[in-house]
Amino acid sequence: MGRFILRRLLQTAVTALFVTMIVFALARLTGDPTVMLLPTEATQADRDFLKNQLGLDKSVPEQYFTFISKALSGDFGTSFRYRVPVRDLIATRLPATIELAVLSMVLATVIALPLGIVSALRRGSMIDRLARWFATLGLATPTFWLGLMLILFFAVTLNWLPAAGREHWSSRILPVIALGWFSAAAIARLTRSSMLDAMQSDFVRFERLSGLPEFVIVLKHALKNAAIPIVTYMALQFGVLLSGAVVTERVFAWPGIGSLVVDAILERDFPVVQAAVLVTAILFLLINLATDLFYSWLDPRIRY
Amino acid sequence: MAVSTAGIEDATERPPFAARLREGLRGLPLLATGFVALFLIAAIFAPWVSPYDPAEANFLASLDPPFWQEKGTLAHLLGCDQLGRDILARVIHGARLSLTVSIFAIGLAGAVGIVLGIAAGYVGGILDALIMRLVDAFLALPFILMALGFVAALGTSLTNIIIVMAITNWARYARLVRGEVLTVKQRDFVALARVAGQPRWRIAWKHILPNVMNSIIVLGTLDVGRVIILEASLSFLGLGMQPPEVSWGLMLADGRAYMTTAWWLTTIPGLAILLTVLSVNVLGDWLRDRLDPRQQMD
Amino acid sequence: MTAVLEVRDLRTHLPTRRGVVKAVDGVSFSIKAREIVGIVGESGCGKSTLCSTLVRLLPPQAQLSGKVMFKGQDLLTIDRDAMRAIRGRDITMVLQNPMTALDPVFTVGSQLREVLRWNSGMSAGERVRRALEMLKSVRIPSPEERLENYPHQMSGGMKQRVLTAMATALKPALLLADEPTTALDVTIQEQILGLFADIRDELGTAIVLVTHDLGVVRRLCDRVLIMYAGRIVESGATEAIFTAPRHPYTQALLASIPRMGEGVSRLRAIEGQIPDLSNLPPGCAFAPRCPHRMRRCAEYPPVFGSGDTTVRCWLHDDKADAA
Repeated sequence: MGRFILRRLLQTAVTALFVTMIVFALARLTGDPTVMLLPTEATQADRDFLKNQLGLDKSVPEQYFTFISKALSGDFGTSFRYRVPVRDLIATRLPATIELAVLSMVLATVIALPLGIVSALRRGSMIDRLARWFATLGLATPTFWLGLMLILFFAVTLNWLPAAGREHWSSRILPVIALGWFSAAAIARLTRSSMLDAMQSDFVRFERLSGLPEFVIVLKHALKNAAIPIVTYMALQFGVLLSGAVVTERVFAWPGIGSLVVDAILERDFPVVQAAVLVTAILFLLINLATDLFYSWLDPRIRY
Repeated sequence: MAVSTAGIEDATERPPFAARLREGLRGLPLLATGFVALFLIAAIFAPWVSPYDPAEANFLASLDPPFWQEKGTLAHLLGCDQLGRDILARVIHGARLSLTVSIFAIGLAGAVGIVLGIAAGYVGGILDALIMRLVDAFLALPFILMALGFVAALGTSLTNIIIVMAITNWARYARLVRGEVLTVKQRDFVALARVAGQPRWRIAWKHILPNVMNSIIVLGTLDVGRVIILEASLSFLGLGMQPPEVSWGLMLADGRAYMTTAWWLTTIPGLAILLTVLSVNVLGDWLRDRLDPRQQMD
Repeated sequence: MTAVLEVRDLRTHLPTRRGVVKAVDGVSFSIKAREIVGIVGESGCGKSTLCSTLVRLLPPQAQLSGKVMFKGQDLLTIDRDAMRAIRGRDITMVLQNPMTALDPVFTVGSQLREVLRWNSGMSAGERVRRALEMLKSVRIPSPEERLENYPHQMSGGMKQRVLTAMATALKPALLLADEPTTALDVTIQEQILGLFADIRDELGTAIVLVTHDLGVVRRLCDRVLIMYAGRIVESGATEAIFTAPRHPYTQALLASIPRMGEGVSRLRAIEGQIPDLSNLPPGCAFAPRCPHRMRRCAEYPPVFGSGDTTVRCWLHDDKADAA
């Protein structure tokens, strides 16, 4: 088990390193920030001065190294545009996105797991067919369009729910539905097939032969075995949710990291772009690592 | 006492083409296929099928509703946008864009993925580990953010968008191909080929690639929907296709301001995306059941 | 001694797209305590379906008829809960593939205790002790450690012992073993068979051993039933069957065993193929392949003989005139 954990940690570290390189390259590629920050009449001397100020005149490897070493100590630099530490910007915006992602995941799971399980147990029934249609539909729906439609219907036409912002507790409802819809569909589908596989395995047959009651077979044995791929998948879904959060935040004017990054990209605010994307990616890697460790607890074949 | 060979001759004679075709098309989802055909016709023959030029502005028809509503006319079946441009025409041309982007992006992503996947799986060792960590890295980055970043860096031309889509998608193909390669590598015929002295690249080309193609095709088909939605999202955010190009995502961005008064500006292009992706997915599922039962989700 | 199990004219018909598959088509036999009865036949003859029928674990569309008398009850007519109570306690089964019969995410010990929990009224402490005893009774070394092992940490032979322990923990009256040694090495096979013999002797359990391996039959079984196309074509004491087989199918089966000393150049196979169970001919099912085929065989032969020694073949018609 120890070897396994060590290996996973090492892999995550290397992957994280690659992530930083990609992020760094990406940010630099978006162009010259001085163009956005200075008025058009600014002279070359002005630009050079600013570049020096921002540390952009150093060589690329030097900039990368500075970036990494500072990042490790939590210093992400200063936003070119807002002139405040990037760390603060992220700290204010990150919780909003995490809230959105977590709530969406919870909603998706609460809907999809039971649906998938029932669907597998009552294969071919009406509820199974409905569930499968819901899943197929959900996977094809563009999140941002769903958000717009929800606003159109619930906020504008019916005027039941707020269309934007984060002030009221009910502001969460529409964005969470929009964001969670896709994940619910994906998880439902996988739960169903995973349970079906488990229910058809040899050990289930043997347990029936041994006289175990059906509910024990399903809820204890089949479910635990089916849980393994489902949990792994849910961790992957988190990445999808983070992506979906970007457009959802735009549609609902939700003050999270997604909208922060979009603006930063448009304004070529390197430090913000780097930091935000990096934080998101690392978060995702950590969740994956945690999932792997949880997975190894669920599946003893990995452990020993 | 030998086993009777009476029935054996019949097995080598192949059933007629018509029967094989029928068997191959068993269970084809008709509605989905029909819609995909519609999509393809619209996309490929757009200039001839479209009732108007999508950029043709007609201020007299500004914000005309679809024909079944009160002020709608048959001249503009699905209504017009704020500049009087026909929605149906724009939807048809949007299909063309979606098709173009998805086909080329997936083709490119697939090609890159195949090369790297085979390299990783077949060569193994450090190269494999490095490539896989790179794959993990790309998969860890939220694809929208990556896409946004690359678009901002490279610009918003059609070619760049395609390249960006490929960059954000290649990793899944690489991972899939590597997995397949590892499975196939262990099989006897590969070992035999090596013993026979065939060079590695030749083994990869002749023996490994055909086995991998099925899974790639399935993944690619199911990816079409994803790429279409991704391009639409980018355009919606303003970092995808720019006017005067016609993209469903752009239509949604444009129409957002008029959402309360002219619902068709946002609803119809969105429905176009939904129905197209839905049909392609259903068709893709059917294809997967036929070609690669191992990836089954049902 | 009265029979533990008495099967009369059992039929299991499974409707499929291609027609009704008559997996079991008129099977009758009985088995007493302390007896090991072998059921022999090629793949597809219906022997596994027979076992599934006896424990009533069939797909819902299966059509059953006949009688299966066990401890005074007809198993085909009792309700599902009653059947579930019997399963795992009075009638147990050991399957062919030990590698996949255990749940991979739970320890062996917990699965043993679970079987005890649901089939008996033992307390938790008693279950723990009994689980250990069970492992000892099947001669597994270091049983205390093995209880905490996961299935993938055990070899196939060891797992088969565990499965056998689970099947005999509650001293069932009847044990069904469906190809229990097919997936194992020859040396391990020998040990498992020895285990079955001990179960018969010490627990008095009646054992039905389904197999296609005639060597196993000869080693272990008191009586043999030869099955073909869902029917029993011959039955009798093991030695009698092996030295003087009466049904042509039995003769062909025995002739196809390669013998030591005989050149291996010619393996004798039985000519023809097993019939399609959804499309059986109206007469004797073996007739198309039978070297002694007569005109009479177009008529479905009844069972001749009585008790434990029977044969379903016109050749042995004791009431026949010279045909």
